[in-house]
Amino acid sequence: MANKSGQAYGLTLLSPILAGTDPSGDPHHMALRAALSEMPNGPQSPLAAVAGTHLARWVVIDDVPFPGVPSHEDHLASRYLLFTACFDGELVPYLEAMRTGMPGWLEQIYGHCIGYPGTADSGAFRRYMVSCQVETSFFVAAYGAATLPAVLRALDAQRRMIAFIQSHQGPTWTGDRLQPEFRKFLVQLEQAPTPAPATL
Amino acid sequence: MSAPTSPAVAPTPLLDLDDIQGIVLRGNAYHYARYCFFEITDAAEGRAFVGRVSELVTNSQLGPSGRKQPRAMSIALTWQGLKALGVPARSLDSFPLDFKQGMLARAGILRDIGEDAPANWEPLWRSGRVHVMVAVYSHAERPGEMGEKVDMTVQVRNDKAELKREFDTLMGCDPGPGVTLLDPQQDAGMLVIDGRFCNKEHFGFSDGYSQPDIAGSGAPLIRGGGKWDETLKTWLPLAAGEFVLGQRDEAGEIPPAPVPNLLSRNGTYLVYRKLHQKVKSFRDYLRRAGQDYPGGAELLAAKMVGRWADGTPLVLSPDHPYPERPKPKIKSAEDYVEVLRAFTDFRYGYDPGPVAPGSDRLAEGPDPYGVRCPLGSHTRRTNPRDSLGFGGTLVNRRRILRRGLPYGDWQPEGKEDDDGEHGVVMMPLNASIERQFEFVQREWVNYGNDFHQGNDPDPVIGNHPPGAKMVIPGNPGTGRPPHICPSMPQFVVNRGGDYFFVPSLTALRIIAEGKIEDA
Amino acid sequence: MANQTGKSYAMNVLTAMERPGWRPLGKLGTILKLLLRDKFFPTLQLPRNTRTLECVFWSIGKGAAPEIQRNLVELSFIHFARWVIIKHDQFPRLDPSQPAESLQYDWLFFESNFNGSWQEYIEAFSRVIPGGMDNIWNWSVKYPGSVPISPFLDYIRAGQADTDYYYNATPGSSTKDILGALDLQERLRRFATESAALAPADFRRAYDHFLISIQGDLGTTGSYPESSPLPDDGSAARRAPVHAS
Repeated sequence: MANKSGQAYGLTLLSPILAGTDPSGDPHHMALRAALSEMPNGPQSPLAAVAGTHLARWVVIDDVPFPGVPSHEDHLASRYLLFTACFDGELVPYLEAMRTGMPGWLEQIYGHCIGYPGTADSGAFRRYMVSCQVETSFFVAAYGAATLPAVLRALDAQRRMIAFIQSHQGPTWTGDRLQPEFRKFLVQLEQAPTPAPATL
Repeated sequence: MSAPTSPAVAPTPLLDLDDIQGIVLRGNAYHYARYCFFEITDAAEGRAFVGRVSELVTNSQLGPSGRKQPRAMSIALTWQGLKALGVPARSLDSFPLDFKQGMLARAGILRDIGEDAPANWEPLWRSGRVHVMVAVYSHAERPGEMGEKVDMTVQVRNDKAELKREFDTLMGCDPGPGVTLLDPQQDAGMLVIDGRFCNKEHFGFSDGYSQPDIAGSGAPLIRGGGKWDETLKTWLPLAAGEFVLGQRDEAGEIPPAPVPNLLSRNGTYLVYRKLHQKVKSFRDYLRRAGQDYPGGAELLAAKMVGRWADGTPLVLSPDHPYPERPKPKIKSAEDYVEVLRAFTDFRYGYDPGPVAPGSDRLAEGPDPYGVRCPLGSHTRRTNPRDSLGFGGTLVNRRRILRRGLPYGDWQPEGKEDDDGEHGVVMMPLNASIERQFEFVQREWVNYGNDFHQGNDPDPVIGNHPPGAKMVIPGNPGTGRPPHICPSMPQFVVNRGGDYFFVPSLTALRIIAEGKIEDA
Repeated sequence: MANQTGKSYAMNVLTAMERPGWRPLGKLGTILKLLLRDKFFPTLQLPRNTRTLECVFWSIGKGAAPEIQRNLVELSFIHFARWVIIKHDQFPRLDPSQPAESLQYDWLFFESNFNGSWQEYIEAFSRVIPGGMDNIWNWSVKYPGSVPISPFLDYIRAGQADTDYYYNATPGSSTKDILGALDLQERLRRFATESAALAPADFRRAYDHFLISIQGDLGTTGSYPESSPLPDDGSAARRAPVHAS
């Protein structure tokens, strides 16, 4: 299935943007861009609350590029909001996670798009998003088998392992001293919480 | 198919040796240098000064019987300098952004932060007044070959007298009120250790190996200096366009260059970087960390650098430097090349897989996992050779010529400090500052991703954030585990510098004549 | 505008493709031609249109041109990348009030999440997988080929759209950092199980070998302190005319 690589899903959405101006008098596409630039990023990003999101982006497509003569000059009749995401698992649960995880920001962004039904109705929201979906033709993932929590735990384990090695280095760390320390380390690792998204 | 023998001289065609400044292709490998910096406040006087100096500038022709020329001088200009000399706007604008902005504005890109930050640079390099650099060199007669014991008092006196003569000749070009000699000039020269000149820097390591072999340079090829060709199983010279503008480069094209053609052709860019060396910090660290490292301080230092102090490559001789050998008589360039081969003719090997199979056949042959020469060591980072795979295509565009010299006096063991004037004037030359020097500095020296080192910086010259570490790989054959060098302090500090353009002799003439057309 | 978040750069490129004319065998014919080209006749020309690219993707999905995926993985500076063919009539029309699109071309959208600067990335593609890049973009209008580098850089730049918002759940970690961490995690788990019952002397030896097995995964990760800007995006403005010597 071309949208998947391992367990990772590559979602591509093209949402037509409303022509004309919004209630405050700004053209929809400009208000949309402004909203995107105001959206917090890092651990405070609304997408950090949508579980399993590795990477995602919004791009406002004003028009298609003109390759130059003698090519034809194509133009889009509408502007589109492109959304791509690389996330864990299947589409329907992910869309539901978006709907419940970031309803306010979804309204701020998709409120400028044609046919957006809002987040109140799960079915309507899902149908809207699916109607914007374009099939991915070829999706490449470097670590498609690893979920985001697995990646975060691995990065955390790597840091802890480096610290352990540094503090247990040298000939005085014979087997009988090292082994119980290592066992303690494993327990600490097991109990460590999964780091929050966008913190590592 | 049998591999062709490596030609003694680069094949064809020869570059314009008459037109390319000697510092580019011949290196001006003299024992002493003085770098002089000028500010231009009157364009016409500046052009006249450049014209007079250009008559003294040496080209890349060899002197009689193939030896280097008896004297040398080179001149280079910052973008502000080109502007001050009245180069027209469209031409100025066609220079690349890195050169236009200069090193200070790009300190962030280079990760010149903390101790390396411009706020700590010498006033000269924060002034924005450096327009022209002229390097004069001394080449006083000396009785023997390098490394032979000579009467240093006499030799040094002769060298300094010769340097002064060259400097006086330069000042005899009568700068005039519109051209100001800025203070201070920077003297540099080969270190004298125990009464001998040597090619060492202040940490005690022999330096200057593996200069790039350049196609068409007319110099004999030094095996290991160019690029390795896996099909022909031999070393080939690098395309001249990596180091000289207007020539084909390793990407198979003649890259965009400033206009007009006559201004940029046969020119190149020069990076001047005064690198202070904290000798005490370095030696103290080796003493301390060497106690915890199985193998001791000397091996630890070698692992950090990638060579033993005498230049023996770790990958060829992992347990000890080459045995002391009788100093060969060097009577020709070919002799010199033969001596160098033992220090330059090697490859590292490459494997995309993560870890070495348990094997005791790791004593020779490829060293893809850094068991002999660590992946993160200084020389392996700055010239990875074949160790990034893909036939070297990711490395061949990242080479630099190094034309610098140490400055300051050697500090004997036990008498070192961190604060005096001692270090290296680093002087990389390349056709693209951003793609070559800056890339190496940013991606390979101050970052380690390409070598599976994460954020870890170059252990010797890198900018070291608190806790900077280096992983020395262990040996799966013997079961020796990896060792993590802890918390390395800063050893090398950038005291300032800038980006320069090294025009060809033709370009110098049209700059001096003010005859560049606004194309 | 936010093309870079942490160690990853969000690239978006749109290129035009000719729509295929009618052919009696349709896609089957193109697939056969591809096979002939790959096995016997490397200079066999295929039409530069969407059908050819669709068949290229189909055959890659079936295992053809394995060096593309292999080299991409080995270069290991891409987290995720995708190609999306958007045919002239596939732009979503959600309401009758939305004007219908009347595009002459089909469009190929490429997105990538990669580490390093824009210039280094495109150059690595051009130099390491020129055949792979040609295999995908050859069918786009006015594609100049992936070598030499400068026209290829210009072509990508001309089709690039800047990203408005870019979220990265692992901003301080490059692809290599993540692959190294996953490798370390896996080996650690295995070692924990295998060493549980070892006597202390044996443990020490086994631990040393475990460390050797992860010694390529011990780089410090996280955002680089005082993160620095990367060089500019190879702006076309500074491209002077190319001239021969």
